[in-house]
This record gives sequence, C-alpha cells and structure tokens, in this order.
Amino acid sequence: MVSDLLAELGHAVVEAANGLEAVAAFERETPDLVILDLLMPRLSGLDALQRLRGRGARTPAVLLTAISGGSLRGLDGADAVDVVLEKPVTRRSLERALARATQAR
Amino acid sequence: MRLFRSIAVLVLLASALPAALALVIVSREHRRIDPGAVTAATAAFAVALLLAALVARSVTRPLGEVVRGALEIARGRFGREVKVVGHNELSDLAYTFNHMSRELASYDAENRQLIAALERGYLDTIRSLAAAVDAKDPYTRGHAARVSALAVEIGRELGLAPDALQALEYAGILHDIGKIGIPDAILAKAGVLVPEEMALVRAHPRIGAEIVAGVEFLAGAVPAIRGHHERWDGGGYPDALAGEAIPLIARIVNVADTYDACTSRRPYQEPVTTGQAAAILERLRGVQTDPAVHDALVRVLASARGSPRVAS
Repeated sequence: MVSDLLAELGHAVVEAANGLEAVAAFERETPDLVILDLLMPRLSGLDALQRLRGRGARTPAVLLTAISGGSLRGLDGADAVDVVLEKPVTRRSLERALARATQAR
Repeated sequence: MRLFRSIAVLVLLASALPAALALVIVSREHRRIDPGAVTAATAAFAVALLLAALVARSVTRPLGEVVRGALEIARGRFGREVKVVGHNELSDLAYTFNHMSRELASYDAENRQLIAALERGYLDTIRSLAAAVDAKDPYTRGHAARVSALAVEIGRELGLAPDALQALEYAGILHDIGKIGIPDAILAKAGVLVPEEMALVRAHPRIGAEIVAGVEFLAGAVPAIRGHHERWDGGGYPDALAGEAIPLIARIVNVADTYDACTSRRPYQEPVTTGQAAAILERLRGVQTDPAVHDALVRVLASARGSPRVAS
C-alpha cells in the first residue's frame, strides 16, 4: 500500500517481509531513505533501525505505525527515528513525512 | 468494575447536574414544584444514566478483552488475539497485544522445533554408540534395537510412566555398551570361557553404567544398564541383588534381552523357535526373571501374534 504510493511519487521501492529481511535488504541496496513498520515479525522496526544505526547508517528513517506516535515516547531506540508516520497513510501525509525526514538528516 | 464505576459516576454527574440545577431554579421562580419540570429532569437523568453506562462500557469492555487475552497467554495459549475496535489508545493496546501474541506463538513454535531436533540428535548419538558395540560382534547385530523396542512394549503393558518408557528405550539400546571394553576374541568365542574371560564378560554391565553415568539425559537408563544381568533369585551380577531390590527397568531389560538372546543366533547356540523360546523363558520365570514382567512379555507376544501387522 505504502509502496504503491511511493512508486506513484516516482521512488524506486525495495520491500521486505520482516525486520530481519529489512536489515539484509538495506545492506544490499543502501537506499536513500528507509521506512520501517513498528510491529514487524521477527524484528521490530525500532530494533531493525538500531541495528542499522549501530552499523553507522545515517540514512533518514521513517517509522510507520498504527498506534499513536505519543505511545512511542521513551521506547528504546525511539531517538533514532526521524519521523513517525501514523496509519492510515495518505499521499499527503507520506509526502510530508518524506520531506521532513530528508530535511532532518 | 472500579474503572466502570468511576467513569459512570463522572459522566452521570456532568450530565445530570445541569438538569437538577434547572429543576431547582424553575421550582424557585414558580414558588412550587412544577410537575412538568420534574418530568423533564427525570427524563434528563435517565438519559444521563444510559449515557454514563455506555461510555463506561466502551472503555472497560476492550480492557476486559485484553485482560482475558493476557490470561490465556499466561496459560501458554500463545497466538490468541483480541478484537480491535475503533482507533484510539485502547485499540492501540489491543493491536499491540495481538502482535505480541503472534510473536510469542512463533517463538514458541521455533523452540519446539529446536527441542525436537535436539531429541533426535540425542537418539542418533546413542544409536551410534550402540552401533559401535554391534560392529564388534556380528552376532548381536540389531539386538540392541530389538531389546529396546521389546522392553518399551513390556513397560507399556505394565503401565509405566512416559519418562520410565523413555529410560527403557535408551537402556535397551545401550544395555550392552560395556562390551566395548571386551576383546573381540572373547565375544566371538564359541567354546567355554575360562574364569578370567568370564570375569571380563561379567564386568560389562558395570562398565556400561560407568560409561553412561556422566550423561545427564541418560541418567534414568543407568540402573537398567547396571542391573540387566541380575537374577530374581539373587544369583546374578554385578551386585547379586534379588527380587524387587533389582530396579524394575533392569528386570524388564533382562526379560527382553533373554527373549531376544533365545530367538537369535549366537556363537554358542542356534536360534530356537518361538515355541521353544516360550518354554525356556517359562522355566526361568521366578528363578532368573521377575514373574510379573515375564507375564507381561507373554501378553505382549500374544497380542503381537494376534495383530494384523505381524500376521501379514
């Protein structure tokens, strides 16, 4: 769904089915920006991002979540997130999140 | 229920108070209690009561669902999910709860697979240990596996617990592991053994128990390995125990071992028929073997003969 929107906006998208695959795909592809879901099987979005940051990646990161961003405050690894994008995602909210994330870095 | 009461009282106060206030003001102006105003205030109160109950329930019901879900998970029922309604902090809780539940279920499945793989590894390891003995003595090929299977059948017939059956399986496979220390020439000898050779052969239950003693998951099998040559009348070795002083699983392995020894070819004897074996075993009942275990073997053999698997 989000990947369709991204494609419409003219971005090349690489998808991953879970947190571990996301980390592997990141290292293979070295993308310009990474969007991670908070609740992924095997490895959560925050843990995946912490691994990427631990390996020196400075890539802008958007955390996608169905729960309100306020609940994330104080969670381990929440500092590494540049922008929290709440579901449901619209074209507008996605564009804004992408712009803020790229500015942040 | 406490949260339900607090929310209900709050909502009730907030919505019923204005109606009560209006009733007081109207009554003062008219210098009497207006029946119309009382009816209106009562109606307002009733609506407020309904509203309070609905609001309180909308909060406490999803919370109750999550509490029940958590209790199910605490009972080991991983993967249980609760209904997610609406889009607020409560639905966030339910949504996150469901994710946690699914993750727990997948960790649990992974652990079970690992445990199963470990157990297969254990069994493979002890089979290869037993194969080392089998390889020394061509006459005993397959003997360990047959004794193991028969001992488990007898144990089941006697109603033993699963961990005792597991010990019987391991003990059956490993009962002769101590023969690893006996020279091949003695094992394969067809003639009568001289006393020194006999002493060596008789050391094998003790040696086997010592070999296995250090392995924790085989601890249950050790008494059967050490005691499988004890005799009911006390004339066995290595400890010359008698009757029920011999561990039950050792008595079972003894019977299974004796039966298989009668029915398979040995350097010192030709195999006998099943009927002759039964006669031999019958003479040993209560002398070498535990009568109760012997009777269980007879029942196992009878039911095996009757079963279509063996008949076909």
